[in-house]
Amino acid sequence: MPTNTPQSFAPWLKERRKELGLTQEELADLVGCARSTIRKLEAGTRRPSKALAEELARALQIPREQQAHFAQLARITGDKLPASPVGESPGSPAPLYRVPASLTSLIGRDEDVAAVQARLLQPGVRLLTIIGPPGIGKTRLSQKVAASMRAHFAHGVVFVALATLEDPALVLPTMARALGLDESGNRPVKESLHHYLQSRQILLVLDNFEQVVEAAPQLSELLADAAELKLLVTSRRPLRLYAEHKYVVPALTIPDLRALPSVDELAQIPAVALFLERSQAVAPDFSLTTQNAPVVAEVCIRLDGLPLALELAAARTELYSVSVLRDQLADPARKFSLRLLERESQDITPRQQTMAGAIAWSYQLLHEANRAFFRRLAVFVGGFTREAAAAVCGAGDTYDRLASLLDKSLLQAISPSSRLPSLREEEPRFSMLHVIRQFAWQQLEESGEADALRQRHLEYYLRLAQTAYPNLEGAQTGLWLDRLEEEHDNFRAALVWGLAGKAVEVAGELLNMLWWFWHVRGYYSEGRHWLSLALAPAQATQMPSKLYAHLLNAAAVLSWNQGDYEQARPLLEQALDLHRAAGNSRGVAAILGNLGIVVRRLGDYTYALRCQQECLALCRQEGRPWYTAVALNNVGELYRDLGDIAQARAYWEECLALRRELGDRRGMASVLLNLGDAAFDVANYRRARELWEESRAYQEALGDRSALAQALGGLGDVARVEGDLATAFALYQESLRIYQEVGDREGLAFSLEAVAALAAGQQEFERATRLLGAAEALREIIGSRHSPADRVHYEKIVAAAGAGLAPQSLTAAWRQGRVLEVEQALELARMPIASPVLATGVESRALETLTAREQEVLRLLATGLSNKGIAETLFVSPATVQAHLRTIYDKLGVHSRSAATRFALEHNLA
Amino acid sequence: MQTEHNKALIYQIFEALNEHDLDSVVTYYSAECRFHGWAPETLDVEGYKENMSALLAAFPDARFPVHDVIADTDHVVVRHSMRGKHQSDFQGIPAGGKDVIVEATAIFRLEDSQVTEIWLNADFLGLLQQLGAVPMPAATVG
Repeated sequence: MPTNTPQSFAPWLKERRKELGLTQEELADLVGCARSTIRKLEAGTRRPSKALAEELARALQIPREQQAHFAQLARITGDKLPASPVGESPGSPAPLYRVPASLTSLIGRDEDVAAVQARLLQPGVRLLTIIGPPGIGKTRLSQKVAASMRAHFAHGVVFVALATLEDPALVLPTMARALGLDESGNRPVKESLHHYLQSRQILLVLDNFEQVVEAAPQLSELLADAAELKLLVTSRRPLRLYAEHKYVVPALTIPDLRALPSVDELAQIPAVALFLERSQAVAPDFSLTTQNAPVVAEVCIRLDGLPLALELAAARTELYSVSVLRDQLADPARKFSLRLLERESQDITPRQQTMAGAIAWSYQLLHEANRAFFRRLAVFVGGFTREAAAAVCGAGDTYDRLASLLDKSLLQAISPSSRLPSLREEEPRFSMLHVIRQFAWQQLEESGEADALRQRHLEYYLRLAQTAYPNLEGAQTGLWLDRLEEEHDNFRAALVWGLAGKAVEVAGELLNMLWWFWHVRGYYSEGRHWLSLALAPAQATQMPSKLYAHLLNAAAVLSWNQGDYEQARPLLEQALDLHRAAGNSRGVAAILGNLGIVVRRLGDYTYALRCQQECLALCRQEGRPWYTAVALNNVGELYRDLGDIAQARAYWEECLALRRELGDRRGMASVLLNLGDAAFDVANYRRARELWEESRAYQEALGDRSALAQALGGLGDVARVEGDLATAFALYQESLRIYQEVGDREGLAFSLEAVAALAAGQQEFERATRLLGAAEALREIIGSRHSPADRVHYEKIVAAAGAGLAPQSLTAAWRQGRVLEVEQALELARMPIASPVLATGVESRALETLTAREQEVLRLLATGLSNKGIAETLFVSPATVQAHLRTIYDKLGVHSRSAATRFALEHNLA
Repeated sequence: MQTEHNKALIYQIFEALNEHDLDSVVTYYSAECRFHGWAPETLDVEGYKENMSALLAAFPDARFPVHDVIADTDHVVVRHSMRGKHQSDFQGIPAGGKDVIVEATAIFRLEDSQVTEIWLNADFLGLLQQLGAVPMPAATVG
C-alpha cells in the first residue's frame, strides 16, 4: 500500500487516469459524464458530485482503503485537507485524526522530532518507545511527531492518554474507546480491537505507559495480529518487549559555564532558549544581558536542562531576579528533603531528583493557603472545574488561587479543543501534569487530609451524578452524557475510595446514579466490575436493602447488554427477593419485567411468561396503565414464542386499545409491528400489510427510525411472498439504509437475511448463503438470537439458500460471508437481483456473445487488475485491452467498470 | 538550615503580597509584630493591614518583585520594589494613571518561624514625585 496518500484531488485524478492508460474521453465514458467535466475536474475548476466522485473512484480503481480519502478530497475546494476529519463510528471509513493540539511551541526538539519521525517510518519499526524521566517532555515530543504523521497512515493517527489509568486491565478498553469502538454484545473488547486494527494502517500513540506497564504483552499480541499498525509509546521505562525500539529523550542542551559564548549565541542554546521564551511569557521585559547571562546559564545547568523544571523556574521570573532564583534553586534536592512516589523510588536518578526538587521548590514558594489548595487539588483525576475545586478544596477565592497556580505552571488549563465538542463552551477545566500531581498527592497524604478530601470529592461527584440523572432522558441527553463522560476518571477515583470501605453507601448511591450512563455509553464491562465490588457480600450489610436491590438490577442489565443472561438471572432473582421482603410491589413489578426478558432470552418461555403475567397483574392492581401496556405487549410476545398466535394477538389487541386510550402513539406503532408479525405468521398477508402500513405511518410521523425500518422490512416480506420482487427489493434497501444510518446492527442482520431470502428465491444461492453467513457473524457480535417464531422464518431462508448448492460450496460461501466486513456485506446486499424474473435472462445471453478473449479480459478485470495489469498478463498493449473493454461494455450493455465486474461475478466468471 | 528556612518564609510572604492576599500575609506575622517605615509612627498588624489596603486600592495591579535576599539566623533582608499604575486616590492624590516604580529594602526579624518586627526603607519621596505631588529636584529634572 502506498504510504504517501495524495493530498489533493485534481492531480490525483489525473495521475491515476494516466497510470491506467485512459484518455479523458475514455474516463468520461467510463463514468458517464462529458469529457469537458473531466477536463475541469483535472484543472481543479470544478468539484464532482458525491455520486460522480464514487463513480470516479471505481473507474480509477482507487484502493478500497483510500476511497474515503478520495471522496473527501473530491468534496472540498482548493488543495487543503479539511481541518479535522474525524470519523465518528467504528464502521466509518473516514480516517481518524485525534491528536491534541499543544498550546505552546516545542523548543529545542527539532532534532529529536526528526529522529523519532525517521525511526517510526522505518518498515521494521512497529513499536517505538520514547523513554525519559518525568519532565523531559516525552508527551509533547510524541504529540509533535503524531501531528506530522497524518500523511503516512491512511486510516489515521490517534493519541491515547493513559496518565490517569491505574489499572492495566483498562488499557485495551481505553484504546478501543479512543478509536470509537464500543463493547458490543458478547464480543470481548480485545477481539473488537484486534478485528478493527487488523485491516487498518494506523498509528496509535500511547502516552504515559509506565504505570500500566503490565499491559505491555497485550501490545505484542496486537502488533502480531495487525500487520500495518504502529505504536508510539511514551514511558519512563522501557516496555521490555521483543519488538520494541527505543528512543531515549535527551535533556535539552545546556551551556558550559567554563566557556560561555556571547549573549546572542547563549540565547540559542536550547535550555536557555526555552527559559527565555517562558520567562518572556510572564515578564515581557525580561531579556538576556551580559550581566544576567552567566546567572541564567547557571539556572539552566542546575535544572539539568529538564524542560518542565525550566518552565517552573521561568514562571517565577516576573517576581524574582535570576540571582534570587539561582540562590533558591541551589541544590534544591538537599534543601527540601524529598521523596518520590515512584514505584522504583529506591533508585531515583539524579535527573528525577532534579525534577522533584524543582517541583518542591516551586511548591515551597507558595504561601500556606495556596499550598494547601494546591495539594488538595491532587484529589481530582483527569481534570476539574473551578466549581468542583471550590466545593471540594474550598479555600477562599478559588479564582485567585487557580490563577496563581496557573501563573506558576503548577496547573494547566485544558485546551477547549481537546474536550468533547459539546463541552467546549462550558466552564473551563484545569489539570495537573502527571509528575506534578504525583508530588501534590504525596503532600496531601502527608498533610493527613487525604481521607477528608476524598470524602468531599465522592460527595461532590455524587451530587453531580444526581443532577445529571433526571436529564439522561429528553432533549439534553447527549450533553449530560458528555458531562459524565468528561468526569469519568473522577467517578472512578471516587468509587475506588468509597468501595474500599470508606463510604460504601455513598459509593452505592453513586453507582445507582451512574449505571445508566454506563448502559447507554456501552461501558458494560467496567460497570459490571464496579457493581460486583459493591455487591460483594461484605458490602450488603452497609447498604439499605432497597439500594442493594437497585444495584442488583443494574448489574443484571449490564450483564444482559453483553449477552450474559446466565449472570443476569440470579442477580434479578436476588433483587426480586429483596423487593418482595420489603413489600415494594413497584420494585417487584419492575424486576419481574426484566427477569421475564432475561429468561426469555435463555429460552425458558414458560418461566418468562409466568414473570410477565405476574408483572401484568401487579401493574393492573397498582393502576399503572402505561406499565400495564408494556406488560401486555411482553405477555403477547411470549405467547407467540410458545406458538399460541391467537393468545398473542389477543394480548396485543388489548395493548393496542390501551395505548390508543393513553394516546401513546409510539407504543401503538410498536405493538402494531407485533400484530403484523402475528398476521404474517398465519399467512394473513393482507392483514399484515395493513398493520405494518399503519405502523409505518406512525413511525414516519414520530421519527423513530429503527422501528420504521422494521415496518418497511415487514412490508418487504409481504411483497416478497406475494411475488412482487421489485417492490420487496426496494423496501429492503430502504430498510437497510435506515438501519445503517442509525447503527442498528440487529436490524441489519434481519435485513441481510431478508435480502438472502429474495436472492435464494431467484436462484442466487451463493449470494444468499454469503448474506446469511454475514448476518450470522453480525448476530454473534451483538449476541442476538432469533425468537422461536422468527426462527421458523429464518430456517426457511437457510433451507432455500442451501437447496441450490453442493454441501462443499455451501460451507465455503457461508464462511466467505462470515468474514465480510459489515460494509462489504451491505454492498453485497445492495447489488441488484439478477433474477430471471427481473432481468429475463438478457445478461446470461449477453455472456454468450463475448469471444473467448473478451471473456478472458472480463475475468481478469473482475479480479481487480488494472488495464495495464491485464495487458501485461495477456501480453498485449493497454490500448488493445481498452478496445476489448469497449466492445465488452457494448455487448453487455453496461457503462462502467464496476458494472462489468459485477456482471462477471454474478456469472461466475471470476 | 535556619537561615534557609527563614528565607523560605519570606518568599511565601512575597507570594501572598503579590496576590494582594493580606490575610495570608499576616498569618506569617506574630500578633505583636511591629512595623517601622510605613508611617511616621510604628504600626501594629491592624495598622499595617490598613496602610497596605490603601496602597493596594490605589495601585490595584501592584507587584513586588524581589531583587536580593540576604539572611542570617534571625534576620532576612529583602531588596525589592513596587511597580504599579496609579488608578485611584492615594493619600489625597487623585488617580493620574501614572506608572510608578518604588525601590525599597526591608529587614525582617524572625522568632520561632514568625516575623516579629520589620524595618522598611522605601523611597516614598520618589513615589510622590512620580505621582506629581512633589516637584522633582532640579538635578534630576535637568
